[in-house]
Amino acid sequence: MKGCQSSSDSTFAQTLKAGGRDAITFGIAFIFLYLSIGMVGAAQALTLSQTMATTLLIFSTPLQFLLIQNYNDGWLLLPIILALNARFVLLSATLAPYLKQTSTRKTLASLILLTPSIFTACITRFKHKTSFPFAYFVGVGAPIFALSIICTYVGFIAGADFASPTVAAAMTMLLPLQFTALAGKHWPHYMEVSSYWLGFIGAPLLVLLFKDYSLLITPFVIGGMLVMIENTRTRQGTATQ
Amino acid sequence: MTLWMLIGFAAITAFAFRALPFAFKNTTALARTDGSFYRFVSYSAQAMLGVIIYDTAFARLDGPSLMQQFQILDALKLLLLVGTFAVVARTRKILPGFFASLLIYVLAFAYLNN
Repeated sequence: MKGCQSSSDSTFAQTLKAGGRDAITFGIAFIFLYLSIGMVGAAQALTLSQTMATTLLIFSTPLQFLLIQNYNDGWLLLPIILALNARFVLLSATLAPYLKQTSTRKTLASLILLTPSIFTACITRFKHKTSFPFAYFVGVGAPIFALSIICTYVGFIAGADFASPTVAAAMTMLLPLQFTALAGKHWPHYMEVSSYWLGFIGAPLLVLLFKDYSLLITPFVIGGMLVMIENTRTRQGTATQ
Repeated sequence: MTLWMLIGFAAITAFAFRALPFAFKNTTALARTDGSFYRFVSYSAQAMLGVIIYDTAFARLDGPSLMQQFQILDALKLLLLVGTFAVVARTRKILPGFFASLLIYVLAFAYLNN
């Protein structure tokens, strides 16, 4: 059995295929998310090309919703766009060591695929299997990206036919449920799980302190605090031995 | 500022932020995944997801405002998020917990707003 397992992970194509299989699990919410992005784009009187461009060029659900729903705010959106995009630095920095053997050209060409869901799929796998990381990244990311493009188009064409308060309520819970399910995949890596829930619990409290910069500052406060706790525990463990 | 300019700005900055860390992929700080810096980045990434989820589910309300406006649907949201996490952690499967929670929420919303 073990022999079968190791040989099934031994080639680029097979790892790509494994990524494609996992894309079903990690990407299912994208169907609803991107149908809704298409629908909201149509409802907000964007053109089809503008709505499609947000998926093709940005591929970031919170940012796309922000742009589509608030584009009349113009330049006032710039700092929020920067804040929302800054999170990609964290995702990329976490993934970078696993993709360091991949050529810069390939990495740059595939960067659009980097979203929290695809990131979580990769990190979950790379913690125990590190063969052909780029194949897995593309294997998970490319089908999800393609599906999102199709769903944006379908959502735009279907437009207001699907719109209702219940659908809108479902849309607000899609992303939270999706990300929380992804956080569950990190179990039993306690520090990652703790970081996620501390971010969730800390958000309504630290926003009082950091105001509009909460999304930028809160995660680093929590990340820093947890590393300090972990390092202190390690030092104490070493000292008692 | 036109929507196309906003889309362009968002696309360029998204690409730049996604690409930037790869310029430092061979530095010791990033290469050592058990080092303090890498763990700091990794935990901060998870914490950022937690913040985004709270902001999306509870419309960025601060603590006191949430307590004042707390409704039964908010309690259900919390319950479903914790429940989804527990189910995925236990079963290692995303879809059953995700769909069950979504269905419960939609049914509850439809019932309470009917």
